[in-house]
Amino acid sequence: MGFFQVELTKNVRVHPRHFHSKLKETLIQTLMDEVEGTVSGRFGFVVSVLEVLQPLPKGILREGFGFAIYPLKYKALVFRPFKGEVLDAVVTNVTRHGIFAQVGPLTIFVSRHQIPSDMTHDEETASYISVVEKAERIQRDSAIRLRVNGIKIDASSFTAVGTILDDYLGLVE
Amino acid sequence: MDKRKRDTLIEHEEQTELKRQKNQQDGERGSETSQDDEQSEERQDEEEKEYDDDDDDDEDSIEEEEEEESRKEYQSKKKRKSSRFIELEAEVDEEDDEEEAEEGDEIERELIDDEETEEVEDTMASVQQRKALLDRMRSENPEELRRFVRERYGEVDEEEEEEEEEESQGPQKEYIKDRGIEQQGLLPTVQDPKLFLVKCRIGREKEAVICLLQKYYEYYQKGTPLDFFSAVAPEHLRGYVYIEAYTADSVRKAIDGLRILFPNTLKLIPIEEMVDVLSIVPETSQIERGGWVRISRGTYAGDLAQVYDFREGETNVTVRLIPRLDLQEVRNEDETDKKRLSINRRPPQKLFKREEVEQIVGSEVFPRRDRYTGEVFDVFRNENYRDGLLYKRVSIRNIVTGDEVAPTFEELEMFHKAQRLASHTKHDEDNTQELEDTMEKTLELSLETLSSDVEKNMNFCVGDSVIVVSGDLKNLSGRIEAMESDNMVAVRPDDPELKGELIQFSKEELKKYFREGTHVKAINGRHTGETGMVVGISGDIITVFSDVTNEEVRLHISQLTETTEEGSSKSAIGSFELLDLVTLHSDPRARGVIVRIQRDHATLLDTNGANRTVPVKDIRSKLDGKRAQALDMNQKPLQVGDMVKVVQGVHKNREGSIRHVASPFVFMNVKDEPQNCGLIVVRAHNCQGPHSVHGNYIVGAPNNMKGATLSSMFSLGGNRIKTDSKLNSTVYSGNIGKGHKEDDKLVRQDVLIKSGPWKGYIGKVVSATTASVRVELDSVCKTVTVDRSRVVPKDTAHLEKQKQPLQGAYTPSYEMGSQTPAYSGMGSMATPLHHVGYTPVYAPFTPTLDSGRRDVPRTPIHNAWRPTTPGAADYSTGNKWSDLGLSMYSPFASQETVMGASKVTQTENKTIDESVDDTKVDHSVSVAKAWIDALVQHKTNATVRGYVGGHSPDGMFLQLELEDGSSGSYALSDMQLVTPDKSDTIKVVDGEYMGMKGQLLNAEGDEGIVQFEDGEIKILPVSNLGKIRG
Repeated sequence: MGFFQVELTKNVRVHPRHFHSKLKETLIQTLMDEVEGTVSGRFGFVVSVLEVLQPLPKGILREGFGFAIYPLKYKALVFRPFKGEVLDAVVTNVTRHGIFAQVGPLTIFVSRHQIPSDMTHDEETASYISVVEKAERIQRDSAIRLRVNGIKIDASSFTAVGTILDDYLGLVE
Repeated sequence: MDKRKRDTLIEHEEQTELKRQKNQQDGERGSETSQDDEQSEERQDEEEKEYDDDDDDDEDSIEEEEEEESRKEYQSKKKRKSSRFIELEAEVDEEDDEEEAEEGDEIERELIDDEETEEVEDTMASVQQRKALLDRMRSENPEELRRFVRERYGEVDEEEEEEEEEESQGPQKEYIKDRGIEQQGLLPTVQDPKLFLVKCRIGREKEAVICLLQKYYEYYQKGTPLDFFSAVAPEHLRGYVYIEAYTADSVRKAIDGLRILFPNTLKLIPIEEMVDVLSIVPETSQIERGGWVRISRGTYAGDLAQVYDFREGETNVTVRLIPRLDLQEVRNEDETDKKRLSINRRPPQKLFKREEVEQIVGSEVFPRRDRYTGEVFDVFRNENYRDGLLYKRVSIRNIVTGDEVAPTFEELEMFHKAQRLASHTKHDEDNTQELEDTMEKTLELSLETLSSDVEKNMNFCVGDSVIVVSGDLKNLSGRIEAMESDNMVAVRPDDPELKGELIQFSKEELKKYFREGTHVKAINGRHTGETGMVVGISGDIITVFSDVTNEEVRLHISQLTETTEEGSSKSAIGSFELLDLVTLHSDPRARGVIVRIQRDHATLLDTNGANRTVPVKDIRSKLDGKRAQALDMNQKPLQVGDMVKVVQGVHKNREGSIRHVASPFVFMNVKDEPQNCGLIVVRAHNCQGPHSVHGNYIVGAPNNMKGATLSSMFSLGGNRIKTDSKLNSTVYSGNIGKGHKEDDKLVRQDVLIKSGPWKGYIGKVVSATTASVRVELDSVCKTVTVDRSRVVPKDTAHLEKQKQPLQGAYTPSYEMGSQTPAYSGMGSMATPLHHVGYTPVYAPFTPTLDSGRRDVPRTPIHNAWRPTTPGAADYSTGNKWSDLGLSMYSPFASQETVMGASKVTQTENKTIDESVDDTKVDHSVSVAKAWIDALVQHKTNATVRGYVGGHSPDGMFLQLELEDGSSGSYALSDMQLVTPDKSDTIKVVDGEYMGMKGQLLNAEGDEGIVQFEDGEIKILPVSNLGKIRG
């Protein structure tokens, strides 16, 4: 799994009402609130802030507002999937177009073209059922192993398409 | 023109005039046109036409005299000769209003040569005209004359000619081409007559022109000629006629009294558009058998169709297309004989299946042989079907041909399906086999041509991945580095062994090449601009998973290029963008969100959850739903951006954020929705919004919280003073400290006014601010504004609380506020704990002192800054709050579940303030009352279980009829309701529907679906339900 520790910088804006002895905590908490769970460009999903680098920088007051801006440097744990990576995912939705699966915060779409042809879509149960072995079915909440085929990175979101059309890919028992 | 020419001309005019005078004298005997070289002609409709051969000859001779004229020019003049007739004629019109529209057929002219007698008058007129001309020439100075001549015989005439409608187009076209640039100088000028557009009854354009002709002639006969020059009814323009005149008034005079023309629609054609009016673009019919067209109007607007039968010259064409039949509607229509309800609804495309139709509608389908072609069709409601396709005759006017058609693979696939269907049926019907074969062929053919067409204009761009398809280096893949010339490109191969070496290929040797997962963009066709990722490849056809619409589209490789561009599909059309909420002209009440934009159509997701494709013109306006609100199942407001969960209906259990609110519907962005750009539409009251998910605490609404923190600061500051003087007034102002949403809690509640002029009145809160509330009184028809501190909730407060255990951190006595001085906003969650731990006396000071001592009020909000404390329920993330909050306050929560009737709380409260008791008792009584008949059991001893028969006067004890037949009295606080099961008969013991009886249809989690005795179905918290005897 593509977890990395990266050093990032974030400008944190603080209201003057926090200018007191607890400012440091406020800063860190604000940073966590603002950063955790977001997508940071090419670095991927920020899972958690591991450490804020000390000493904290001096804040810059914004004239006319009273807000102070602190360029905080911090170490973050990020989740960054790569093309070609094999991941275990949980199926969230099954449609006739394909399967939507999630790996943590990342939604991966597996097109029906990327599903083995011996699996057919069953509208009623919203699942893909293997023709060979009826018991083998991919439905909501199934665990599947897939390979990431392509990733599109936006400033604030990640989308990916994957495949289970290869050896050792597919339903995980 | 040189002087010589002019002289000759004048000379010639003089001669002509003389001849005419002579002619006039001999008028009675008939004119001697042949001798005079003067030729006149006349049409059967008495239109008169004059032509001067002499003139013609003369001019030729003039040309010959002009040595300096090159041979080429001479030739062009020659050519002009053929049309000079018209030119002269038009000029005559202009000058003297003598002539009417003209017919340029020489044969005809000759044929009617002998009709001479009637010409006398006309000849006279001509003579007069000549005379006038001559006078003018003499009177004017040479310079002006020269210009006049040039105008008359030079360029301007050419121009006039162009505007002559009756002129056959062929030669004229050629002529225009020949003249090329010269022609540019002949455009109409401001001095020329203007062209007016007049509306006319449709289909009677030609009649109008002929009427004008007649009228002109009549007036001319009467001696009061009309001053317009020509009237034109172009073939291609329906409902309009052009009239050429100097002023609008002349036109009005001309059309006055003609009922088929409408004078008030008169419109001047701008000078720059005049040429376009009459220039005709050669139109080659693009309709051919087997070709693809699109229908432009009606139910099938925008649909692809294949030309099945078309004959040159016909205005109708037989096409076949995928039917859009709503069988259900058809059936309903039949049954009820009602008028069609919605014409706007457009059924989805579906192949026609005879068996299915017969099954749903009844046997209305029968085979019939076409009268003309002899082919057999299934006829259903007067429409012909075969092999799933609809065969329809449509007007050429209503179809779109050419490049705009651009069939997509999805559409073609439907036709393919139909074709397969056809090949199945072929086996049973031998007699139609031949026909099927031909049909198949045409279909096949057109598919091929389609792909080969696209292939031809394979447009490579720098950066494209390509693969070599022929030659030595076949299957070599690489990337285009540069475009060398028209047909050559330089490719850098991917193979590391060939690194750095650019290889040149001609375009024919290359093919675009995409790998799965590549991010691509469509560069032509219907999906132009759309981006997506490659998910499937089969031959030259690529399946792309679109970024924006979340749908799969199939495209030919030539339509794609690699891109790093993010997102955008064709996302705007006119002033409308993708995902805008819009209304329609045709259906102003409908609201929908644009989910796809095509060339001139947009697909909407309407409030029924259906897709509707409408022309862009039909979109009326964009709605700004930013402020719109809808109420969710708990009557809490939903806004754009709220995270909501759907709790019932087809989309049950889906979660997403609200994109648009179109009350009573909301459009939600749902992550795993594969269609409609990930949007679904649900009724607001089927949703659970953030404000009702976790008690009164807010889920994912940091904005609200920010507002709340500020306001809480201020309100607290303000209240401090009040608290000093009157401790018990902090009740509701204190609540504000916990967030805005507390305000909502008070709204719509029944309250009791405790003091002031309205003391003792009961009413409903209609609005609330931090300082005051507006109360609609029950007894007096009046709404009054009361200080916030002066109201207490009537008795619904504790009920409200029970629904939302978290909020129930207050005990009932707290709700009554006035009795608990200790109760303060900032400490609201924590205070009870304090009371337990510390002396009660201490309590009242805590909050105020706290906030007074420090700049920063120590409200729960403050805690949010300290991540370490367990109580630091993070306000901006509601989930954490609920987790932490629950565990932290569990002691109180558990008390709440037994309606706050726990003795512990009671005693505690008593120690704080004795006055609690009364309310406490009231509360117990109301609970006990509500529980009558319900099945309860002992909290610790499950064997003590029975129905409530009655209760003690203070409500503290319940009389139970135990299941073993005995009866006994038990403390209310020790008992709890037995959770009813599915299909149990129940009684609502709390909330809005308290006291109602019904049946529990289904229970899921905390929610139960209840059907009341009157048949109404509601969703209520299971905790509010008590099982009663069925």
